[in-house]
This record gives sequence, structure tokens and C-alpha cells, in this order.
Amino acid sequence: MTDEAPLASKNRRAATVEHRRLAERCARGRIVLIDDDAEIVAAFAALLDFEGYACETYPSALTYLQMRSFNQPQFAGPNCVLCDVKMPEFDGLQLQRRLIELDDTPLLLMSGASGAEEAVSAFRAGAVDFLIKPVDDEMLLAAVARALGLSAERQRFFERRTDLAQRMASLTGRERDVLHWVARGEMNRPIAEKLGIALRTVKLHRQRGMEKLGVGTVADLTRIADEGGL
Amino acid sequence: MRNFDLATAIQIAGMLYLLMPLIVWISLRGERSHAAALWCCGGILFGVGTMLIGLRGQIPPWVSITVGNLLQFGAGMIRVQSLRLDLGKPWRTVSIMSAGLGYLVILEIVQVGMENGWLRLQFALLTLGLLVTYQAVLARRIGREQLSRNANWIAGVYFFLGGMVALRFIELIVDPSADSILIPHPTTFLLVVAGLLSAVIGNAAYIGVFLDRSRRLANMETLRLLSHALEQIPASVVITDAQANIQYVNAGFTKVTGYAATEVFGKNPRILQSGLTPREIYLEMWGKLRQGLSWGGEISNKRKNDEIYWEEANIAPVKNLVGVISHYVAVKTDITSRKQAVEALRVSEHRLRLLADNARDVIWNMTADGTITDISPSVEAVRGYTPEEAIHQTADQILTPDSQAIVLGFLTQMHGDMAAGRPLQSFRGELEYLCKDGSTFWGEVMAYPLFDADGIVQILGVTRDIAEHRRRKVELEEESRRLAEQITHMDRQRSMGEMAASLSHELNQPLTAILTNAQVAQRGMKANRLDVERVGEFLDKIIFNTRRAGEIIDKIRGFIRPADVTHLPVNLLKLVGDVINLVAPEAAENKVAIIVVPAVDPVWVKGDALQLSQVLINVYRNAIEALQRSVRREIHVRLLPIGDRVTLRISDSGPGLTPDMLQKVGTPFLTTKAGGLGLGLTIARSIIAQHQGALSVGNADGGGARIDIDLPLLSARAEVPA
Repeated sequence: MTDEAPLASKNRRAATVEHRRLAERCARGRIVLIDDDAEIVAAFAALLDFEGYACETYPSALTYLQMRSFNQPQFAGPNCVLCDVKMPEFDGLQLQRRLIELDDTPLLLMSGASGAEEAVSAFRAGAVDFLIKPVDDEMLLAAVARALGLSAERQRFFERRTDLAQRMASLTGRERDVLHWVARGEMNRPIAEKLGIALRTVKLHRQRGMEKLGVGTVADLTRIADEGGL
Repeated sequence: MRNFDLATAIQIAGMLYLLMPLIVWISLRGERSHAAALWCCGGILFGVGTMLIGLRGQIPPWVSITVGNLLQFGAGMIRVQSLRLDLGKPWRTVSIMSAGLGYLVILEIVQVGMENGWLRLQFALLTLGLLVTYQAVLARRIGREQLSRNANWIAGVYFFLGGMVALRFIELIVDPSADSILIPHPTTFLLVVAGLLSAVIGNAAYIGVFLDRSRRLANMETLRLLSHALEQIPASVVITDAQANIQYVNAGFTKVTGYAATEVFGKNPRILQSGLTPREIYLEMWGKLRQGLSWGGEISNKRKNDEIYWEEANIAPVKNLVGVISHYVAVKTDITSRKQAVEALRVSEHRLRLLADNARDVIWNMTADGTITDISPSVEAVRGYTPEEAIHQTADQILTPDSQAIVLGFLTQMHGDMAAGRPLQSFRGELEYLCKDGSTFWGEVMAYPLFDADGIVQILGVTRDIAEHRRRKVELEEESRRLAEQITHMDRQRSMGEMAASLSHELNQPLTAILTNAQVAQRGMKANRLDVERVGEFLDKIIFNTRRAGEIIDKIRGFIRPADVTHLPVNLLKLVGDVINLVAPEAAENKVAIIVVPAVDPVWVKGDALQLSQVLINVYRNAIEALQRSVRREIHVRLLPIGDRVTLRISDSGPGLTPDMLQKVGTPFLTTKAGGLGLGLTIARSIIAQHQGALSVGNADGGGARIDIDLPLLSARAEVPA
């Protein structure tokens, strides 16, 4: 079932039962599994499937990177990559560097040997976890959960940033100027004097701007002003 | 002047002339010299002639004038002849006689025919003066030639006399009236005085000349003897002047150097230098010589034929009367052969000492009836008895009964051979000796019967302690085997460390699959969400992966199994494949392809699979390392069974080995790798050698390195396991 997932990529509507199920699984979490050993891939996939996650498997990191460029995630949800470090051609650490360049998908690395050197460089490059084979199921699932949590957080953060940027973009120039000083704690009258406009106009711009940004209090405005670069 | 009677004075002079030669004659009688006899004779005649002249008027004029003048002339001629004899150039007697005759004729013509007294006197004076002056010249020449001061005196006094005669002659020209010798006149007076002086001094000096001469002759004789001796002695003698130019060399010099005396005369002795003598020696030599001291030492010189020789030289400076160095005398002995002999002796002594010190063999002498007469000190090291004790031992104290029987048999046979006149056989065998501490030892004995000078048989024997020999050999072998084992073990551990990572990776793969599959099944069963069929699927996977793990373990078992050197049948084909699997991760990492050209049938050899795989791993690793800088990275493995042997050929596409490396390859502790001990190939070689095989390293035709491992095939089919 998991093997068929890439084939269904073009279909974005959860028209069939299978697609609906997949959408549900993806909402819970989608895990990309990369290992050159088919037996391990199958076993991990069985475990993750059993735990209700969506699972894509690839025999090598290169295959994954090639497929990925065609195959955008069709159903929303957090995702992560679980990859073996020691693989021919393109190993886990190389994949990690590529992922950071692409979209910062959380990465879990595993290795057969307890290579401290590999583990250190993996963590330094931002790996979420480094698992030593054979991996206990609890440990694997915990690591996956942690990675998916991180992914969800990043996705939320990304969404809010997008939303904020849209709101910011909707502000007029005058509203921007007024809110800039409001966010820095200025009272209405000094703002009016600084900008050379009537106190009444300041109040109007302030109210409209805060509405557009969707903030009720000056404290909220100050917070998003930092984030959005007001 | 009045009181001076000229005639008397002349008489006295004449008598003196007569007397003095007599004294001379008496003095020099022992010399038996013709010259001296002539000298004396001349003197006496001159004295007689003078006296006759002085008696003029009292005796008939022909006696006084003719005989007197003739005697004077003859005496002069005789004396001239005497001096010329001394010089070695006598006139012929005929010439003297003719001269005397000629003088007489002229005198008679002037005296009787012309009756001219003045002319006669002038003639007489002229001839006398010439003769006297000539005598002076001759005496002077003798004085110069023979270094005789006395001859110079003669010359002086005769010159004086000649001068006086000349004065008288001139006076007569000036005053022709004084034409008689007897006319008193100052010049006449001086002439007489000169005559007197010449008579006394001339004769006395003549004795002196002889004394001088005899002394000189004695010196010459000594010199002659000395130079003769110098020519005779074998040493070479060189005399140089103060500037070190050769003035004299003896025959010994010519014999030693090959240079003739004429070749080196006036040359510096440095033409002989060989260049082997240290400079300091010459500096020291000249330092001493310049200080006026003699020097002795060894110097190396070169003969005319360029042969180098050594000589012991003694050089001394010779000083003249005023203490300045005028000559150097060197006496040198050729010591080349002596030096060589000394060196040869030293070497042979050293060799003998070494031999004696290290001899563990007992050398002994025995008479034909079995009595030991001589035994070397090494007996103590072998048997514990001192040579003094051993020499007095009887056969039953020396050998065990069995060995005694052997010796007795040999002696009996020898006596039989002696009696029959057959050639005597030497003995070679092993005998068991008794030691002082009660133990025994086996000795290898060689004994040779020899006839001594008196025709009596002596047996010369050598006993070698083979027990000791054998023990040391075993010890040595054990030592080297232990070392080799340690090295192998060390190398294996190193390889183990290196391979641990890839091995754990290999083994972890199935283990991971097993664990995860088991855990999924467990979870499913706990949650009651799995049917039997699904559980069976997981169990199948677990079983499959467990088998996989077992296979991997099987593969590496041969590698980490403790070493027990067994010689079991080994399938070389399978071994090659297994080892390739072991090094596959390394090969993949370095992008090296290992290509096996398989033999059709399995190739069986007898040996230790573990040790053989050790060798193969080593060879593969070397090849992989050698390929690191190559574009094409391939290792070809071929099995070539030929006859009853098989060659495992492993060649790579690398740069190959340089001639220098080829020569040194396999030398322990020689390595091109930074971290290696350089023992890999050495161990590999020894392992292959233990399998009755050979490992050779060379370059493949294609350019890379090639290693051939030659092993004997398992011959009997029966040994191959089914």
C-alpha cells in the first residue's frame, strides 16, 4: 500500500477510500524511509503503518531526491525523513545537507555501527536524532513523533509567517507609519506631531491598521511588529 | 859584507843541499817512493853541483863550471821529474837525458867555443830560474790537488828562489861586469840566502808532503772500505746535500727502488713518495732534522715500477766543521714483506683465537690401542671433566657400554687392516658419552687414523655435541615460530579492528529487521489487530533475517576463529569468494571492482583456511590501496590449476611496482604505508611457505602488480570431503 503512494501523487482529491485513508494518515504524519536494505525498509514500514503513519520508502537517497522534485506532498500534514547513514553513492549525511538547502525537513539518521564521529557531525548539521541499529520500536516511534512534532511546528510557524506577511502587505503607507510608532509605545499626540497630521487621522489609521493585522492590544502589535518587520 | 865570504856561503848551501835530502831519504825510506828517491837524488846532485860551483878557482874550471852547472841542471830536471811523478805525469827518461845533453852542448858552446863568461852565467841562471819556478808551479799543483799545505810551502820557497835567480839575471843584464857567481853582491847574497832557505824549508816540507799524503791515503782507504761496505749492505743508503738533493745512493737503493744512481743524482728523494705516508710524518721528520736531530720511522714509498713498499728509515743530519748541516744521510730498510708477514700473522692468530674460543667440538688424540693422549679444553664444557681428568679416563669411564662396543669394533677392524696392509678407514658415527654429573650426551664423532713421523698410528678425532646442537636448533625454530605467531595474531587483531565497523554494519542489518518485525508482531498481537496470517508473515521475515545473520556470521567465523594450525582440505574457490565478500565494503568504498575469473571445478588444497584467508585479505588490501590513485580500479583474481599445483593469480590495474620496490618487497619492516609495520607480505610468505607453496610478487603484463600464490593441489581424491 505504501509503495503505491507515489503513483497516486497526481490525484489531489481524496476521492477513493484509499485516498481518504491516506489523507488521514498524512495528517497524522508522513515518513520518508530510506535504506538500501529492503528487509529493514519493510520492517520499519510495517511498524509505522501499524502506528497509523503514512510511509514512503526509497532504496537510496538519490532516488528520494529525484522523486521528490516531481512528487510534492499531496495531503497536508507533518513529515520527516528517516535515513540510513551508510549507503553507497549518496549517504545520509549528504542527504542532510541537501534537505537543509531544500525545505528543512526534519531528519532522523540511523546507523549500524555506533560511529561516534558520524553521530557528532550529524547532530552538528542539525539532525533531530541519531538511531543505532537495531532500533527498539519505542525508541523509533518516540524519535519519529519528535521529528513530526518539529515538522508541525515548523509548518505552523511557516503558515503564520505567510499570513502575517499577507496582512502586512495589505497596510497602506500611512497606516504602516502610524503603527510603526504605536508599536514603539508612542502616544497618539506625539505621533500626530511627528507625522504632521491631525490627531483624529492618527486614531483612524491606528484602528484600521490593527484590524488588518488582526491584533487587539498594543502588546500583540509590538510582538508581530518584531516578527513582520514593521 | 866584507865578513861574508860568498864561496863559503855557497859551500854551506851546497852542503845543506847535500845533507837535507839525506835526512829526507832516511825519513821517507819506508815509503819506498820513486818520487822521494828522485827528490833526494836531485837534492844531493844539486848540493854537489852547488859545492863544485862554490869551489870555482880551486878546482879545474871544467869541473867547477861544466860539471857543476850540469849537475845543477840535471838535479833540477830530476826534481821536476820527482814532482811530476807525484802528480802521476812523469816525463819520459829519454826526454830528460836529451834535455841534459842539450844543456851540456849549449853550455860548452858558450863556455869553450864563445868563451863568453857572461852569456854562460846568464844561460845557467835562466835555466836554473826556469827549472826552479817550474818546480814551484808543480809543487803548487800538488798542494792544490792533494790538499797539502806542505807542498805549498815548497812552492813558496821555490818561487822565492826562482825570483832571486831572476833578480840576479836582471842585474847581470844591467851590470854585465858582475859575470861571476862568486862576485860579492847584494843579489848574490840574497840568492844564496834563498838557496839556503829552499834547501832547509823545501826538504823539510817535502817530508811534510809525504806525511800529508800518507794521512790522506789512510783516509782514502777508510773511505774506500766504507763505501764498499755501503755498496754491500742490503739496506738502501741515500746521502743528500743540505738542500736534500741526492748526492749518493748505494746498490741497495737501486735494488729496492729500481732507480740507478745516475737517475736520481741531484734529484729530491720526494720522487719516491707514494702519497700513503701521512703528511704529519714528513713534518715531524723535517722538524727533527732541521733541529739537527736524527729521525727514525716508517714511510711508504713507490718503486720505479709504481709498486708501493714500506721502509723503515733512519735519517741523520751531517754537520760540517762550523756546525752547519751540510748533508743528510738516510739508511732505509724495506719492511714491506715484514709488515705483510706481521699483518698475516695477526690475522691468522685472530682467526685461530676465534676458532678456539668458539669451538664447541672436542678434539682428541688416541693411540691405536685406545689410550687418549691429548684432548682439547672444550671437553669440560661438554662432559664436565677437565682435560687433565679426561685424559686419564678409561674407556668405560668415557662411553656407555654400547658405544664402547662400537669403538672396540672400529679399533679391531683398524688393527685387522693394519695387519693386512689395507688402507685405514676413518670412523664416523654417533657415540653416547658419560658426563661428570652422571648424565649422558650423544656426540657426533669423526675419527681419522693417521701415521705419525715414526710410522705409528695415531687417531685424531673430533666429537661434536649434537644434543646441544639439536637443542639450540629446536630453540631457535621455536623462537622464530613464536614470533611469527605473535606477529600474525597482532596483524589479525589490527585487521579485526579495521573490519569491526563494516562487520557490525553487516550484521546489524538483519538484526534490525528481526527486532523490528518481532516488535511489530508483538504490538499487533497486544492490540489484537493482527490475524494469524499477518503474524505468520512477520515470523517468516524474522526467520529469513535470522538466517541472513547466520550466514554473515558463518562468513566471518573463518576470520575471527582462534588460530589452530590444522591442515584440512580447503576449497580454494570458495575461500576466494568468501574473502572477497569480507573486503567488499572496503573495495566499494574505494570504488574498486574485484573480478573473479572462476575455475570450472572447485579447487581443493590442504591447509588452514583461516591463515590462507589472512593472506588473501592482505593481498586484496594491498591491491585496494595501490589502486587509490588509479583511474581504472580493478582487481582480477584467477585460479590456474597446472598439474598437481594451482596458482592463484591476483593482479591489479594499478601502477605496479618499481624495480627497486620489487627487489625489497616482502622485507620485514619495509613499508610504503604510513601506519603499517611492513610485515604483511612477510607473514603472507611464511604462511604460504608453511603450506608447501610459494608467493611471488611481480608486475603483470598490463602494468599493474601481480601476486602469484602457488599451492600444491590436494592429491588424493579421497581426502576431498563429499
